[in-house]
Amino acid sequence: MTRLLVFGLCPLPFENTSKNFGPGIRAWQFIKPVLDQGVEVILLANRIPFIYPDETPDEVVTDSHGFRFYNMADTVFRNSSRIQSIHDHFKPDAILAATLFACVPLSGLKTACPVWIDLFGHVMAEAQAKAFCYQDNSFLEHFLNHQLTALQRGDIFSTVSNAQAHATIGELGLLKRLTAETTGYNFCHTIPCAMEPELYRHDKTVLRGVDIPESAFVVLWSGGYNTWTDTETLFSGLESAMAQNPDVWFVSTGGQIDGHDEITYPAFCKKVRNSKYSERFVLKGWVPKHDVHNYYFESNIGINIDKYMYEGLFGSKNRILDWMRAGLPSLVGELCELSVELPLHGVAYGYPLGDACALSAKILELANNRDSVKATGLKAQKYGLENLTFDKTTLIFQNWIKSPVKAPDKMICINESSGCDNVRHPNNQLVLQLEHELKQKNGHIQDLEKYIHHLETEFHKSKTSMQGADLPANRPAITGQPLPLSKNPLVSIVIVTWNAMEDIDTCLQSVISHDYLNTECIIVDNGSSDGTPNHISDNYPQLVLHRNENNKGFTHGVNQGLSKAGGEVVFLLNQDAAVKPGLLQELVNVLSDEWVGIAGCKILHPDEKTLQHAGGILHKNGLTDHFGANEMDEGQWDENKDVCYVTGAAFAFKTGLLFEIGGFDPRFSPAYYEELDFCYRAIQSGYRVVYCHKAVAIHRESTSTGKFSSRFYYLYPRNRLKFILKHFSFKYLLGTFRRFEWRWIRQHMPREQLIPLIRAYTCVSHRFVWAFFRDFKRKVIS
Amino acid sequence: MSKVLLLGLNPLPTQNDICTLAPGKRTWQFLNPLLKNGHRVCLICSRHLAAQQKSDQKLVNAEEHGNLIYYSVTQSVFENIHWLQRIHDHFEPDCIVGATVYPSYMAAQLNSDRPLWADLFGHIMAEAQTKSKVFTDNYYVARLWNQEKAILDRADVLSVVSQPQEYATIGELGARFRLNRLTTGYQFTHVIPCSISNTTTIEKTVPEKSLVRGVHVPENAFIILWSGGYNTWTDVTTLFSALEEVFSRFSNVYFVSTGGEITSHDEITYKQFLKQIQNSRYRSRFVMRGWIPFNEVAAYVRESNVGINIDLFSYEGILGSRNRLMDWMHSKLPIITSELCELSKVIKKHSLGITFQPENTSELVDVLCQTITNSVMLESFAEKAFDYCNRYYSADATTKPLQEWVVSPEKAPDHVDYFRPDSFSVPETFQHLFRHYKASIVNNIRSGGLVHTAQWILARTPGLRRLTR
Repeated sequence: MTRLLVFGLCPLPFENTSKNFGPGIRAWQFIKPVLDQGVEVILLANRIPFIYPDETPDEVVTDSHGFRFYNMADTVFRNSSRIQSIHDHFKPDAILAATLFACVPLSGLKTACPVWIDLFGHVMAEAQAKAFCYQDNSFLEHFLNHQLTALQRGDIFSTVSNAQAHATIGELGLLKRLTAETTGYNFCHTIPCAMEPELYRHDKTVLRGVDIPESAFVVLWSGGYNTWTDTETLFSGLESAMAQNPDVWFVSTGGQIDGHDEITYPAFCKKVRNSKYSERFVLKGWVPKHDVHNYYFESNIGINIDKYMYEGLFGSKNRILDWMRAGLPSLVGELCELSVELPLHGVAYGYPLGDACALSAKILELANNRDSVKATGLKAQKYGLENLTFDKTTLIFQNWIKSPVKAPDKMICINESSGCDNVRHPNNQLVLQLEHELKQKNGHIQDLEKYIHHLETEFHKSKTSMQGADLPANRPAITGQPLPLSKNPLVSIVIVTWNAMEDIDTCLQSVISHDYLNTECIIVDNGSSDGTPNHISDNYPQLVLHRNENNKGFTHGVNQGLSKAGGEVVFLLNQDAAVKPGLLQELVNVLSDEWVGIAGCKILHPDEKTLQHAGGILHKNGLTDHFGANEMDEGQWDENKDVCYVTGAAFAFKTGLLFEIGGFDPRFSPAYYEELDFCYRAIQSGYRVVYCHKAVAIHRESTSTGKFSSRFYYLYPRNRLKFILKHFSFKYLLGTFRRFEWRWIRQHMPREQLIPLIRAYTCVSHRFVWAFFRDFKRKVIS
Repeated sequence: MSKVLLLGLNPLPTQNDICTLAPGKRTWQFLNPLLKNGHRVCLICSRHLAAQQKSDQKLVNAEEHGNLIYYSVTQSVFENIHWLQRIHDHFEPDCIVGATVYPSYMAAQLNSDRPLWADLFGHIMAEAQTKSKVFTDNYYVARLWNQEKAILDRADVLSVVSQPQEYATIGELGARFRLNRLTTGYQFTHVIPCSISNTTTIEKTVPEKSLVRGVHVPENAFIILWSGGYNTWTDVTTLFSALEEVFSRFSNVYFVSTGGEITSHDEITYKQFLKQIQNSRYRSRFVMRGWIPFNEVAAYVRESNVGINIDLFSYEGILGSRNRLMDWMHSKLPIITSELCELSKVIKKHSLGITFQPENTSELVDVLCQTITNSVMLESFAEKAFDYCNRYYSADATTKPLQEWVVSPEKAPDHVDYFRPDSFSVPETFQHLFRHYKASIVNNIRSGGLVHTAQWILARTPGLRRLTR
């Protein structure tokens, strides 16, 4: 026997409460047919506030109607351990969340079961209506969070109309769930609202001869006055009809919806009070649930009146179905699928939305044809019994529950820690094997990612990071001049090489075949011993080559190259990098802003799929990170943005910048932090450093210095300390820097880096003294 | 009359180019009524890669015909936002219209306070899905998502090709916070279905002589025609199986195909189909003509007995439309199509052609056999379809909402303020402005002295500007 765990809202229709609510009816619409099929069901229902007596315990468990029903207060419903224990004990085959807000416990639930989520109405359209009603957009985010969480979590979805199903497909697309894996998979099914099979019986006189004359033509409103209710048209149409026919009366059972819409109904009441026909508006307010159907029998027509808004377009109307149970015909504004279809089948009356005159005319016409109206009501009842039953509307769900499966894109995300082990997918073994292999291969990357993630978290938490308010880089110290750029400027490409035979061809081929034509290329060779300069001069005679006799370091080499550069823009490229087409044009485009001094690239690893750099981050102790490092490039960093620095592997700057802030600081020789220092000085002078996502380069990291070599572990912290000492005050060193440096050393620094770090500290120790006197001098002078 | 900056894609149907694709037709569908109504239009079209092969074409080709300024540019120029911005600033349009998704995306990048009508010609995320399936790479999903996002955030009105796509777009707008208190009751989207093309210039040049019968197939052959690109949604497997089965039953049936792979979009599906054909024992009855000049297509249509359209079950099909169906209806060519998109449902509902369920080979075989043996039925369908598309699917009738909007274009209610109230970039933007302003003052003091700086400040201060005159 299949086991189904249902999350829903209560009260359910059979409970003895004062009111019925759409979500409760909806849950019952799903549960009842599967119970009839022999499915074992447990319902965990969150109770709607203020419906049950105050003394009701937080959790009430009942076994009736063939299933176990947990009636839960909000605190219990959100208690993930309680929900998990029920789930683990029950071991369901599938899960149903009936209505969106019943999905709340799903976010914390560990399960491998397929999940069917019923989206009972389009929540963002509802949020819009509510935002309009209260003139407040703050609802939107809350509703959207719920919606997106549900859409991410579900394997299959149901909606109340085809229109809503299509809207949901749109949302799934934005959530990137329409992928190669899910092509051809139908995510959304329409399950329209349905009427219960038991018909109502007239068991008490509540209206005729009590509040209104026997001969009256009664137009009935029942249910809440919701955000979508067009009380303007309703009131005008009714007043106009009442003026022309003294038999027309309006009866309303229902009122404001506490906590959801407390505006529409009071506004309508105010209009009614000021009307000259106010005595023919009988506003009964909310009446007991067991009396409501008697009003249906004593009325001539039920009226439903919408404003034009997306909530109405995507939604449905339970009240119309309730009227059909009693054989009461309806007069409906043509908006939602149900209110368009019923008039087409001749089982309801329609009128154009928002047209009070047409509404009035229709009421008068119906008032003069009472027999025909009654016949339509009976026809509607028959139509409902044939087409809109619980059983017929939920056929798709009933079929699914026989062999529930996960969505194709969720197949590989089976949660191993789940207690539900009775779901077996034929590809499970293969999937697990692949997962195992993937885990092994990506082990190192994952470790790195964890570390980076931690650094990022630290960075975002802290206010002294580069983007924080008190960062030196953000100080408005404007000293530079605007640097305009001419059209199609000459770009000087500067490449510093050292023993680069392995990479240089890839690098230079990409440069000479580049689609930006106005370029010159200057190569500075730092005394390579592997024949690199000869190789370049033999094979690339068109390039300018400068040979150094010995290795003077990257920084010095760059400055040599810059002294020979004649272009308006200098593009600095590492020997182990290659440029992609369009790169230079994109960089020039970005640099055309007169305040953009430096433009960096999106840098990819050699696989051309994994990101290496999408702009740089500077931490409080001078450590650096790259946005997007080791992430798959899926367009998540495809936006130009201002950054603290860009990596020196491939970046461009205006030659004019050199006159404003100087060249690369030789103190950072042989390598590391020279580009950060350069960018930092540019920002200090009021220029922008911009990451340009359309400029793409490929980079094999550190072939010249060897990343993660012992030399790297020494040079990197040494230059970091130099950078901090150069730009930050002694007070900063003693305070913020010391705190964060110590925390990093204790918590994150690998042990093998300790000795190089001590060497680095020793190497720059005299500079601490110098920094102290520098600041002291400044203070005295000031 | 308004000044409209229209961004679109080439080649237009009037160019009689090889490989006329749906985006070009869509651009033409938008352009034609605007010109007819007397608006001044600046049309900038990116040349499609497939049509960009001719080496003699200049980067930018500018022409002026009456009310139309027409720039035909390469994709690299089209993507150069500075170039587009310059044209925009020079033309000073009253509104901007992007015809099809990619031009709409570029239009959304423009720094402009003019209202933007963005045409979502097919549901882009569903297209990304089918493309990802064909290339087995989800890269396209992320890439196209960025375009979609930019359009949804910037556009004031959106047009789509079908009602299902309209609803999907509203769903997306909700997820981008565009369904808010300011836009309640505002109609963001309009359905502009594909239209028949009124390219009379081309119809006059249709060759009179036979191009198919007696040339590639026998005179008495029953020709099943495919015309257009083999796109990601094309179900070549079902098509091939069904045709093989039909060929085995009828010796006079031929399959004629004009069109082929779509460069830079789908270069796999067509090749797969060709491979299947190569291994078929009926390969001589598959006449694969590849891309042919646009005016010759009309001759192929004229000489064929029935046109076939066949979709995989996908959201792209459900939400999208099919231009080729419209072309065939307009050319009185009877249609067999899978029942998926809204247009195919219209065809079924009004008996304008024959439909079958997607990916159902046996049903397709039955339908084909039925059509081969009952030519009278086909003719009646074709006549009815011709009348129907002329009445409801002319460029003029389909673009009514656009024509009305262009007369007095307005921004969406939540775009009336230049800065969106909930935008996080507002403080940053002001910071930048303030920084630049401060820098300019410092420069002015240095270069021109205090008096000059005071004048400079007054000239830029609203309300005090006249003091400097």
